[in-house]
Amino acid sequence: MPASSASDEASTHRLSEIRSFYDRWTPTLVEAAGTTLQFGLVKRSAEASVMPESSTQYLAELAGVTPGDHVLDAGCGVGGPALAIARAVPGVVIEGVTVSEVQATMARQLVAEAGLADRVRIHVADFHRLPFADASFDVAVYFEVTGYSPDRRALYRESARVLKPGGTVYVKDTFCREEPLTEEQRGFMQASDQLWACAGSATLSETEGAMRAAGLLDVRMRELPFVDREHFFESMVTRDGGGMRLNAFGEAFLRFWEVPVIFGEVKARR
Amino acid sequence: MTESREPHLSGVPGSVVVRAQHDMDFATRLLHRDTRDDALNDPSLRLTEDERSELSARLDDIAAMSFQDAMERIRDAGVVCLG
Repeated sequence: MPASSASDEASTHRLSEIRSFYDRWTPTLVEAAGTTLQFGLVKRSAEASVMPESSTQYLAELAGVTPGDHVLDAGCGVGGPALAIARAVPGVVIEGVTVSEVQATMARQLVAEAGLADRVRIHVADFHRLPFADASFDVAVYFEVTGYSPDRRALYRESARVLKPGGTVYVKDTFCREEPLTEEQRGFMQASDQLWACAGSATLSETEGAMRAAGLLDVRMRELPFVDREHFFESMVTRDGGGMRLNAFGEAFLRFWEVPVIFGEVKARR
Repeated sequence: MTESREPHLSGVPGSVVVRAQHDMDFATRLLHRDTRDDALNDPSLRLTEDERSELSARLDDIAAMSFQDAMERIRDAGVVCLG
């Protein structure tokens, strides 16, 4: 088999795994955690309280989304973040992309209920092969999704293709801690990626390198200093007078005491 | 005899803390009264009635915290030997 066919086949298989994963788990995740499916909520200071909507609005600010922008939300889930941005920034039009039909159906319903169908559109597609023309977007955001890419250089080449000259790509994600990791930490990392059907979490510097290799400019990265994981963990339990117990989400996804990740952002322009 | 050094877990037998740190399913079962008794009845823990009763009160306090805090306190608890 020619190398390119083997690679295409592997890529199709990966995509199918991710689609099955999210088709299977999205209703459970949404019921437990709501419409923003992220591990960490970003806040402005250690003391600040944070909710999913305010975290996304802050991320939009960090990404440099301004009124009237055309925004790509690559890996949009059920549309919670896209809706939060549309509500917060006047005139923004957002194209959300997911590989999961289940997510797309739920997202379109939420968008319709919010009365924002003219400003938030949902597409089913692979974010390595986006269904948009060259130079379509002012900003492309990736919120905790780049671990699903088996080829980050190709991912960011595609970002560069669909961005207008001077447009911004913004990634907020969990990144694997830089080496050295212990064998145990490496094991946790691999098991965690497997649990979430990820291709593998990158480090911040690997992400920076992939963006540069894709031809993006002014690449800047940093660890995000104030990130709240309490919302995520709390969504794994239900409470009553007897205490707390794991719900369906917790039963399926609570596996590790600590995974060696940090929260960070990487930003670049075309 | 051993017990935990973590203030919210003080008085909790070390055998329970160590087991919880190595068995997440066991740890989470401690956080609800319906599942706690069964978890603590494990004969390998060798708990007396008095210890179980004291432990249950401590675990009620922990179960009132956020889930993240509760799990972090169990994970990070040190255990001291009391001789």
